[in-house]
Amino acid sequence: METTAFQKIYTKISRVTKATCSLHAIGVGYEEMAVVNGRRAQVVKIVGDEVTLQIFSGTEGVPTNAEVIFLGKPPTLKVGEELSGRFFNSYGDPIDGGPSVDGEEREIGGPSVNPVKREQPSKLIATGIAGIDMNNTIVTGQKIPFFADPDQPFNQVMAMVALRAEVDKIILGGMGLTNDDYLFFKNIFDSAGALDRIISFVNTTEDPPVERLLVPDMALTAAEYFAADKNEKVLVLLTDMTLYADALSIVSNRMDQIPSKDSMPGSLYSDLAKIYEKAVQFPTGGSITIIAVTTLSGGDITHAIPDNTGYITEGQLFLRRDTDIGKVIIDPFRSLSRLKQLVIGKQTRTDHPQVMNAAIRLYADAANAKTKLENGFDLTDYDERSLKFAKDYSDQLLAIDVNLDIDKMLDTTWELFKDNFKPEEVGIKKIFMDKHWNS
Amino acid sequence: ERILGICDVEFNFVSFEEVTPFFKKIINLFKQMNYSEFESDEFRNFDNEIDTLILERKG
Repeated sequence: METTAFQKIYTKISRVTKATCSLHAIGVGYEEMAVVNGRRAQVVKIVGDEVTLQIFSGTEGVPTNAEVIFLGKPPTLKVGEELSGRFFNSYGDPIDGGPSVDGEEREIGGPSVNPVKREQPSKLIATGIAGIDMNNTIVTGQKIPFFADPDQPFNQVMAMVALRAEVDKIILGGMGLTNDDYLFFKNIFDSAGALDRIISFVNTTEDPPVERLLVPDMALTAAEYFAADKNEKVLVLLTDMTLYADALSIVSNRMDQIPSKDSMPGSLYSDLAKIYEKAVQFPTGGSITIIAVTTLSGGDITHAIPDNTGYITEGQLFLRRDTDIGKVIIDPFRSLSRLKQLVIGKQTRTDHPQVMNAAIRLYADAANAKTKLENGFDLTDYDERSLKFAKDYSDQLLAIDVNLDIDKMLDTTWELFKDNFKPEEVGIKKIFMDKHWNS
Repeated sequence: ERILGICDVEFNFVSFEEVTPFFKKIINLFKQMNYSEFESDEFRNFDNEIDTLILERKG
């Protein structure tokens, strides 16, 4: 860590808790970085001249006469083209054995973009996954989470989305990654030849959990550099935001703040919004799209983390296992992209909205038929056909292992309609029926 | 009023299985009318198709 000559060194800590320590100091700023007994720390509270520091790696072994040196600045990241293809820890230090980045030093965690300087998101991001591209189309500048149970392959889906999306830079913010997850991302990006456009900020399970709090800000500072300064399309992947919120809860609890719902800090909404609101579409062409993973405890979307996230973000992509086909799908009933109407039928084929809506409606009829089946009722011919349609639709389109372009997805859906339903049962506009059904 | 009028009509069906497909056709025609410009030729054609369909099954 850098230190300068004639720095003031404090050696009288007045209080030590599990993750914080307090001392009397003057001329200190909020969020200023410090070094306590050789460990990195950050100012989290100032009352008069009493300064409370959060020590990222914990306070075990820190004596009350430990040396405390304030660095005079908040956490910063050196930004530049040299960031590309590199792996960094939560502090922005390289962990791939390469040299430190030499670039412009920028403070992390700054404000989100001025609303007046934004443009409405309008450019489609194609992922090849029909559950996203056909039913929940996402656009550049959008913020949207994956909701998944912890045992779902959400990191694999994120990696797939990252590699298929046509973007200039992909920035991965990994929080609480297992070593397996970290190596998975590293290997998959490397083997896809995409490593040169990927920047990773990684906090693993071996690192102190409180360090995770820096990861999203580090990732978004890098994203803002490429999007605003270089006019590039940047995709930011954050995994797992539940662990980020848990770290917020740990710090809040150790600062004796009164907990809110589900033991989360009362500021949870603001803490999450501060991150998600960095998603932006610039008029000059640059953009930051944020796709984050929020794992659900027991599938409970009423928990404070997914609940607050859902208010902030522009929809959600819900992963669930379809037991009929044995694959993970993007659940069409619980997923939504609030910005899809900006692009479907305009940047995609004109029949896209009608086909999407008809497919979901028929899939819902199949869900009703399945309930009838499970409750021992007789099924009509329409019910039987709906069930067959739903199985094929899940297998050929909703499953996350599908990789098609949007036109092929729409054509496949038309074929499924023709195979299973009569024209009047589909309820699509005649002009599209004449073109695609009767062709 | 148009839809309520259909609810008041007495229909003849040979079996229960004929009912759903018949009304699905009517529903689809109403949807096509909804997609069409109000009072356009296309709109009126769909309306006439509904009348034809009802006459086929009217008791």
